[in-house]
Amino acid sequence: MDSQTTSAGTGIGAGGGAAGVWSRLWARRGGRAAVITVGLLVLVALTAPWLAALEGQNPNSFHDTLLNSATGGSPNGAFGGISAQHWLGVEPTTGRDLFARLVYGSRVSLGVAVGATLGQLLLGLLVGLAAGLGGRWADALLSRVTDLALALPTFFFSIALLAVVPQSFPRPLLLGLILSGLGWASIARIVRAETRVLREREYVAAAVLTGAGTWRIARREILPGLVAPLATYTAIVLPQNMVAEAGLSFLGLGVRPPTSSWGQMLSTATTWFQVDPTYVLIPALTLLVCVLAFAGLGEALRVAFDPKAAAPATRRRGRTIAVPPPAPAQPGPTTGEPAARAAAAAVTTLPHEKGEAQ
Amino acid sequence: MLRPARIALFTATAVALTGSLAACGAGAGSSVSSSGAFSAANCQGGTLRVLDSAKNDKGFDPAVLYTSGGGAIPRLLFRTLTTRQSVPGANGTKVVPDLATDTGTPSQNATMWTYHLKSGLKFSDGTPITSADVKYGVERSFSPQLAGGPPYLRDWLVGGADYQGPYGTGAKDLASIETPDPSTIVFHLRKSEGDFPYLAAETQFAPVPKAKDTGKDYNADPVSSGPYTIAGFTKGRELDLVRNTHWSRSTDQQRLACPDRIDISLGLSSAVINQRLSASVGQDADAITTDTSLDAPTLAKVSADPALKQRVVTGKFPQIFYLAFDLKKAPFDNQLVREALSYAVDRTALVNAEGGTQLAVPSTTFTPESLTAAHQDYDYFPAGATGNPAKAKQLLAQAGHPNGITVPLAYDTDDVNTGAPAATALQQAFAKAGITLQLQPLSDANFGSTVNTPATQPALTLTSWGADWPSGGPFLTPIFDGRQIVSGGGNFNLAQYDDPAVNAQIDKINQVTDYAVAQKQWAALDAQLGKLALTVPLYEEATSVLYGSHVKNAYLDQWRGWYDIASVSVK
Repeated sequence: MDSQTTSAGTGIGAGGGAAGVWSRLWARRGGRAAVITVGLLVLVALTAPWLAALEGQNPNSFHDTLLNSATGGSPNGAFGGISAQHWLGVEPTTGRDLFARLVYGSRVSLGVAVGATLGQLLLGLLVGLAAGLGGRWADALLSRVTDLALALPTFFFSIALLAVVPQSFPRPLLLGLILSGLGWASIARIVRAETRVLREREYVAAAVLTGAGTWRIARREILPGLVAPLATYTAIVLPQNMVAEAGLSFLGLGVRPPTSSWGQMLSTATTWFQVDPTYVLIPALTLLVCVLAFAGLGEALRVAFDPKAAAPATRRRGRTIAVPPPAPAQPGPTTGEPAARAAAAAVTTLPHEKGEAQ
Repeated sequence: MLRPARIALFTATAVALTGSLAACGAGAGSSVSSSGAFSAANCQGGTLRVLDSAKNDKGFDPAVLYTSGGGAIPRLLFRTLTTRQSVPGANGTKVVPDLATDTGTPSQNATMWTYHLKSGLKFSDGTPITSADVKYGVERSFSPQLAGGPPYLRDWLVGGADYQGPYGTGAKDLASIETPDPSTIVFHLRKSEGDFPYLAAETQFAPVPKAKDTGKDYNADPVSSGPYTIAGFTKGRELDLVRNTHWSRSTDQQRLACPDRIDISLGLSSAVINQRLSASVGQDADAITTDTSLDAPTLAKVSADPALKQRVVTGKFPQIFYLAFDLKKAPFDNQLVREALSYAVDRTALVNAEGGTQLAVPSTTFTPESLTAAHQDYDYFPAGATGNPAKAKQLLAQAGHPNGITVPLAYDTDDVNTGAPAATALQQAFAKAGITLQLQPLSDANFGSTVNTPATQPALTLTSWGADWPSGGPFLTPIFDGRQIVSGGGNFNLAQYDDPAVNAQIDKINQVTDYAVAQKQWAALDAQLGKLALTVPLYEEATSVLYGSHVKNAYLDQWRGWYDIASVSVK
């Protein structure tokens, strides 16, 4: 993982190549932790059946004998019935294995979040590009539509839509569709703004002069420039979608039984928090770690794509290699946004420097 | 005709008292020393608090209320011709005289019922209660603008089917109710109904003074005939009751009316109610609830706390949770398939899904054990505690389904009892027998309209049925009487079962006016129908309810399974 050796040849984006971005991402401890955690979560979701088989359980089998039927069906034993057979204990009133339900639940939670994010990206890109490259009228119209979509109370809208659609419609697909249908607006805004900036660049003007069509310009000239902001934004939106899915499942509007998702698990667990705290903590902590990891990844990606904004900290295994002080930021009366951003970057890197200086 | 009990649960419900309940209910952790046992003669005083989740948005119009045995709060305001007996235990299912001197004199094969009113009865405004007031109260319930009560009156009274109530120009009175003098009232029925005294305990039989009737607005401040009258009422928030000075214990043997005031908080969340009752701090020490039982997690918490455990009473409302087959739809037209499902069912998992043995009891009979008089034990298709999938598979093969079957199961997503937990428990148990259940969740709003309309009814439904009064009649008739099949909606004979011999049997039992004899015959009918596997009885529910540490004489009456407020004391 030597960050300096790989050549940046693809010419994508502002970050100076995918490999360069990757090496800068990996070089930061936070970025590395986020990448590893997210990678693990995806791995868990992909291998859920094998993980459950490894434990020797499946997510839907009831276990009457593990419950104390006389006390409301709470699990026997300490910590929600954790044992060698049931690594995270069992669910009260059913005795279903919580580890199996958790790993299977990750498929729904991650799947819906990824699907919804992809949908939001697609819609946001289309609308943003059309607004950014279109004429005055198209821009005005699409921008107002975007404003409108931004102003919608997304969560309440999702609740209303989920309640209206017949129960026979596949719920994870529906969740993905609704979340993407309601959450594309902020991406469209970013895409539009970036597109307006990029279209003024000389190489785009040159492409226009060569007679390239709008579609071709969008695809070949503009899109590569959007990769950095979109990749960063994706990592920020994804955990939001994950929380939204959990929230809707929590309200009973998510997946249908016997399917599990983290939100569904939280939902049934909340009433048990006094009696069986383990049952609540398991999905809650998982969700927390997952959202934190994605948020960390977003931040790390932002820095990796825009090395100038971040402190040029190139670290490996905790050893600091050349940490020049950040550009002195002295916001005067005329100082605009770039200076402020630099200042913010300086502040965020400060703790690292302190820690490493000794 | 009857409503499923889950509707009943919203208005008021019923139950059986288990165990010996000490009359004094002072909790161990109480800071107030409620010394001495409860004494009916010396229980007056104080303010009882009631914490309820119901909003009572519709107020208290005796014509509109749908109660069982007069309900909880309504029974404090309205006296009826008969009422339920206010005692703990099995005698609580007995019907006793209230306004009337006896539970009714039947004649002409129980098609004519005569009642005489006690003397000295007065409304809260001091005017005497006459038989004309009772007649007017019944007539009002026929008015379309006051719909909502039970359907029996319209079905049973001569001319009831077309009567539109006493309002409007040219409106007549109902000729089948006679009032030969101010203390006598006679009801003429179009068929024999031995259970009439039980119906006469419903609020529709409460007297309403015609001069004070305000039609639709009567629900906010009805004229009281009971021990309390409304002092303040904000719909959805609170209801304050104070003593009705014109009521006297000398004419009322069923209501002790101990507290001077009853302050009722409405629309609270059930978690809040249980939290406040278990903490029992300050005024909450004087509190009970009329509609919020313990859920499984709270029960688990209470079980671990001996002090709390003392303040829990349990009881049962005669209500069966069952699987309903549509016999008109394959594969359930085949009795072997129905039997296979009966064998495959895992009642232990269902009971656990409901919250364990303290909240549910498995039942193999349609008429549950808590409907004691009309219960006869049988188990024709023994599934054991956790099901017999091998036998089920064998029967399915015999029926021509060696590779199993796939059937949809409709359930009510909003019903905490017959909702997703029970459906999931059934699904996993049936899977072992090669029966794949496709869950078909229906919201509460859609459930009734879909399931109770034969045209849209699913082949298999998870539902429940409770009795309006403790008798086999209202329990079995709507479910198994072929003449009760309604095609337009509101059909509860989900099996679409119509056997003239059974219908005739039902008519014969309805003529019996001796309660014990009639119940024995209902029990025998249930046992006879059980052999056909028209339903799979699953379990009956138990209610566990908390009360505040300062509350005395709190017991669940066995008619409805909820506190009898008229007996509770806080002194």
